[in-house]
Amino acid sequence: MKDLMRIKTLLSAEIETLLNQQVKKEAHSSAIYLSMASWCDRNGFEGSADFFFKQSNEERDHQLKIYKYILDMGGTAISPEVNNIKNEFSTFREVFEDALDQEIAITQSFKNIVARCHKEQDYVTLEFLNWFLREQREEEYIARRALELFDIIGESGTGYWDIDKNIGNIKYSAE
Amino acid sequence: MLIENPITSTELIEVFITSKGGVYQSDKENCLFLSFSGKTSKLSFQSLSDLKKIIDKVDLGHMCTLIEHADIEIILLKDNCYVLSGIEIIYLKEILHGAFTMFRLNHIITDCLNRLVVS
Repeated sequence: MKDLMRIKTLLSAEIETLLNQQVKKEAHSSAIYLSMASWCDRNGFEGSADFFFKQSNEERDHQLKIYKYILDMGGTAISPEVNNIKNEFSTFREVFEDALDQEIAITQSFKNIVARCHKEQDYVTLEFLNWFLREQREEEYIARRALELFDIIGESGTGYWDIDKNIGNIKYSAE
Repeated sequence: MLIENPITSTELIEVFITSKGGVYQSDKENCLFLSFSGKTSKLSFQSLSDLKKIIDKVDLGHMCTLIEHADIEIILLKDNCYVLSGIEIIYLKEILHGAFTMFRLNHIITDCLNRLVVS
């Protein structure tokens, strides 16, 4: 008897579900960063607004990358519904605290999918996910460093102005 | 696509059957036949998978509490249309769950065989 299930797709139902959930999380992330960009712009933090616009685009790229992978492997990619986006933040610092929380949640989610891939011996998807794990190293570093600037520069006086000017200069080098 | 009587064909492999119907596979055509409720439909693996997802999402509890409507669910799937009562949904769910369990089992066995070293 032919293995029609395998002929149709490389992905197991469980991995496909997890990847579709990740598509939704990336879409959610992209939308949150967009709302952060809006808040920063409205409150005069233009450097940070630019930073979050770029972050939003990156998350959207990640979403599409996973989406296309599901389709390329014969799976069913589901266009996600995105709701419950926080649009108001109490302080400038809170925006960056939320951004770090967001990145940590995404990293944890990828770790969960990778664990499932190991369990199912799905090394093809595992290899695909390696790129995202490397990406998360950078994403978490940048979010953590951005928050660090609040402590290093300080929030009083021209602190916010300096932080806003330096946010876009944060770079990550693995070397 | 509605088929006359393909189940009698010797080419078909029985995937999973119950007293209410069953799923059969044609290796020659790489397709499946769902025999249920007096009709047989020819479906791709994707279509059968889509049908299972739709059936799994039917809220039977809600269906049973409807007073102003008949407890029927109309399912449109490409060329096929199923008009199912609550009890028929339970029967079909059993068939589809059984079939997909067999697909997974077949995949595990095929995978094990593919890993064997040929001497």
